[in-house]
Amino acid sequence: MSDLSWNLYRDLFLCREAEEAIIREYLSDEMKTPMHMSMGAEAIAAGVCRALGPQGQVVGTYRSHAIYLCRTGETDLFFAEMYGKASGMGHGKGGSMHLSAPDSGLIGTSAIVASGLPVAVGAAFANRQKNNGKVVAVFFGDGAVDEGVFWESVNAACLWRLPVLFVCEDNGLAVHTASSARRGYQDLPTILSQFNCKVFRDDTTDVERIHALARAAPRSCSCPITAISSMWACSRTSRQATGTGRNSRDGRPWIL
Amino acid sequence: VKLQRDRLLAQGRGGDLELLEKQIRTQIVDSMRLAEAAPYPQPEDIFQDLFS
Repeated sequence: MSDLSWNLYRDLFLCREAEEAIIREYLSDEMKTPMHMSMGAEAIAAGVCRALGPQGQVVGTYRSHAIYLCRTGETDLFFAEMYGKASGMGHGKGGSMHLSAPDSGLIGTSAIVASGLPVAVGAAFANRQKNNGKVVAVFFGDGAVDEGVFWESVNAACLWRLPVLFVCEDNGLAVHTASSARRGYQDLPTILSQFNCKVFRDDTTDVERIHALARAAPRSCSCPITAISSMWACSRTSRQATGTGRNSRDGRPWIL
Repeated sequence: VKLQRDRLLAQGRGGDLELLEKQIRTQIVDSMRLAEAAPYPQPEDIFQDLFS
């Protein structure tokens, strides 16, 4: 058994158990923060974060528990933040959606759709200026692609050939609206392939496949990378903490 | 999670897995207890954070 397989499972299990604990506890109303779960998408966070290594940097969305836990491995500051306590990593004021761990390479997460993209491009620009070899990964959902700042960020990264990995967690839905009802084009990777970047696409929840993709991608070229990872995302929010959330796009279970 | 767990089980590491899972569950319970007992930020702390 490889250490990699073991470490990836440890990351996955930590994320899943931490969120299961939140779901059990949430109805007691001691956790005051609106809650957005990573459940169902842990493999993407675990695979990409471990592939980046300790020197990598990450920017996340409002659904970033898994990213935080995979980058840090710690739960004391994490749960303190969920409970709104002063000992949390955001001193109890950030909550579920605003996590950060700069010392572990997590630049930050944001509740505003697509807002992490230009931050990641800026960080990648700084890294290139410093010539420190760091790669930035920015996670976003397919709903973020509908924002103008997505295209501006991709364009800037491609123009300046910045070391940034765009990771699209594509579940085919922006809240409840399907991609086909939101887009005037058929296929995102086809559009993106017109930019000066490499585009990878996979449809898997296999953490080892995602890790292999994320590890190989930055080494395959000296340009921005866009990875489209179709996935089944659990959509539980605070109001649905113990419910079933949305239906998946094709009837498959959200959580595997 | 299940896919990776099954992969490790197939490699004969069931015992190690149970130990790891127990350790992580204990870590989470301990962190939640610690968090519940911790103080909330005080208004003056928030004021300092915002305006210092």
